[in-house]
Amino acid sequence: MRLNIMFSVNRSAIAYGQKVIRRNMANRNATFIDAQTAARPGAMVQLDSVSLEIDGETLLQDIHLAVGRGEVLAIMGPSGEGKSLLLKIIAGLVEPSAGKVAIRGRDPLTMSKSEREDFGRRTGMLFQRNALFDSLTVLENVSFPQIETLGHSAERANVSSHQLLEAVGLVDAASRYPSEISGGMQKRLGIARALSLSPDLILYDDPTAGLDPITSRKIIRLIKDLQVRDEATLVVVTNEIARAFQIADRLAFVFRGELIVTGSVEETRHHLDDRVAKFLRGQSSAPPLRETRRD
Amino acid sequence: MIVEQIGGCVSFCLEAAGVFFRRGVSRREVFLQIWRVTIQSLPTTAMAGFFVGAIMTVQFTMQVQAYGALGYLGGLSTSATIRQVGPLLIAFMLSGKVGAFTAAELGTMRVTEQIDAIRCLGANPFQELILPRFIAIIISSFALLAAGLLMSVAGGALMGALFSGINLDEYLRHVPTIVTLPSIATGLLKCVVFAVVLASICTYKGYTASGGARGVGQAVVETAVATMVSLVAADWATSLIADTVIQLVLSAGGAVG
Repeated sequence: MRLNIMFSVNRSAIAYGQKVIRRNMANRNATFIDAQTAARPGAMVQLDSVSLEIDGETLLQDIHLAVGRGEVLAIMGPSGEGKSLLLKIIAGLVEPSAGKVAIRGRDPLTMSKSEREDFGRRTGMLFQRNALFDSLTVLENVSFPQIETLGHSAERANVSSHQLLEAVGLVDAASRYPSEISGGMQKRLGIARALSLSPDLILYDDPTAGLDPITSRKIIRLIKDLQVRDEATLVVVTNEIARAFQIADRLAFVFRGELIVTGSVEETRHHLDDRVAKFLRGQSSAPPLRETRRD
Repeated sequence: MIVEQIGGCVSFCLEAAGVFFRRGVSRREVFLQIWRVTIQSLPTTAMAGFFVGAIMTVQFTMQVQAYGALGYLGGLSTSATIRQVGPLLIAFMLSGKVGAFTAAELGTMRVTEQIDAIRCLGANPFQELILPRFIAIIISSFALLAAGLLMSVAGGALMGALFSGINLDEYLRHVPTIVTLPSIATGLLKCVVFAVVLASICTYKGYTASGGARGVGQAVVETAVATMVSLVAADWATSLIADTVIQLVLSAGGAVG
């Protein structure tokens, strides 16, 4: 009897202790998330309560994000849960259903035509499937923004484009068309084009998608080297944990339209959110697929 | 749904017009597009025009022969071809060739995010892609339609000489009396209207395509259907307007006289 009572008291004490620890951890986590997403004066990218709904389906909900100048933020998470959409909202290509977006303090969607042009000049983007101009050669792809946006002559644009192609190792392929070069080369071309206007904010949508590990490591190193050279702000969407850890100052995750900013690599490793931990371990946080009985 | 599509197309054209007046368009790109569209479609348009004229001659031969009025064959056939059948059939052919090509090209650029990339690079997709094609299609289609109509006259004359037993002089004798200036003006007006209809629909449908290869296919099909229906409606409207204007001008001229 006494033994039973002792066990019961012990169980209660342990349960209470666990509850206190959970509460403390939750508070610490909440404070940490607030610190990571809180508005920062002079931030390059600032998203406040951003949500996106398409055809009644909520794709992004209540996103708060602040990215400082010169910072590299990597956004990870399972496929199809809103990472690319988030990037397109930052790029001003998709209008959020609610919330405020500010890039360098201005909302891209309410900018005047000239401001929008300036925004384009200062914001580079590498698309997930590169979005290269397939009717233009490699050199023309890089020269295009300089000619069309900056109004440079073709000769002048070609000189600086050659320098960019040299930086990404594509000089030999300058006269070829995008369809005639490999996937890795297309990525490098996409990077060169994104950098052709010397932007201070560069958005990379899955820069290593579909590439072998060696090429993807090279691409990430190239992105990092160019970022260090230009001191640009990067927002990189990727599914590769090792690459994200290699490049990012801070990390964030998107799970079913919800953004969790986890902080530095070390802070991310010890983050308390179960979904983050599972993602880092390569486990699915989605509910298990229902097994169907076969007759 | 149809109202939404029409509204979307109209606002798309207004946006294009706004960009044209605000920022202009690259003449080099327009000339390149004109060259491409014209070279691409000239042989088929000429051939289509030739056979349209030939068909009209064969059709009218049976009727005028019954009344012993074979001398009027050239005038009647040419008038019907220039005012009604020629512009419509040649525009149908152009919609299949130029319209489908443009919708597929722009649609592919849309679904492969090339249009988004242009916006991201600070350039304007209307200025870079839409306006050069829009203007080139209008100019080329008008020129092609006019060339097709000339070929239809040639086709009709040749068919008359070969199968209707009427020589070229006889075929052409009544053309100036039946094919009057208002007839030619009506034909040319239709060419302009059809060119604008074609350019608006194919660029709009291509620009608003979505959903990968299937979406591009859908945009091409919708372009073909929408263009043909719109061309028939535009043909009816321009015929009505042109006839009313001609009547008014003639009656005003009669009153003055």
